[in-house]
Amino acid sequence: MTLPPDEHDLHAWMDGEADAATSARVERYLAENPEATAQVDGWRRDAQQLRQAMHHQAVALDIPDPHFLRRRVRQQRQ
Amino acid sequence: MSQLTDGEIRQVMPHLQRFALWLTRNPHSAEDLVQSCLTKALIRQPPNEDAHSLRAWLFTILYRQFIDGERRRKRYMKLLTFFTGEEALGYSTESLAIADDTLAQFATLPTDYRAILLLVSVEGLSYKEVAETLDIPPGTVMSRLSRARKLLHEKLEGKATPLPLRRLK
Repeated sequence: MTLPPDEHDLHAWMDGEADAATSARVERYLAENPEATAQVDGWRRDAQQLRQAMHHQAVALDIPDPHFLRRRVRQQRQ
Repeated sequence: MSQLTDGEIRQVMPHLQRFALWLTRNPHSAEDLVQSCLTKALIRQPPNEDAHSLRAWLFTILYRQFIDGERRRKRYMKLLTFFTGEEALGYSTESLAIADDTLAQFATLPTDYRAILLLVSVEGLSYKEVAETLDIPPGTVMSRLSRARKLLHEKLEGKATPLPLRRLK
């Protein structure tokens, strides 16, 4: 019998970082464990919520002009 | 030596600004941080790869600058506290106004957690890139991410009543 995946495996799987063997193990485990599935779904929802919130709250900062930056670099070098 | 182009700078700007803003949680400090990051980047050789790795490279520079700045700031605060006998406040009076509840909860997470969640869940960096950017071992990426997601989830679930617009001090 194979060991159940640990929490790190679940995160890696969710982020597409798990190798084929781990992925298969995680998917088998999730199919049999609704609680773990709910946990992973929760993390996924949080991440999506965070992404959406960040897209909606646009960053309103001053944007430095590339020319200004290059001039600054040249001045620093002198 | 091929340098960052204006187009590349413009393209990466929103990402750098977002990372800087959520590291510092202060618009002024974020602007300064982005500027010093790009000034550093302009005297170096960028990776000859795609836009994604260019972004990861710039995140790395920005994060180092942030850490250096924090060290200096803490030393300065210690000195100030020593001489005045009072606990010195970290940042300028200007603070970040957050209307969105999710972001308000996110803002209360420790800096390390904000950084890793932003890089993985928002920017879509690989664990390897995150390890390089934050200068931590791959194992730490895993455990930190795991703790960060757990805490964020508790905060997002735990918020019973939506809070009004607030300012971070």
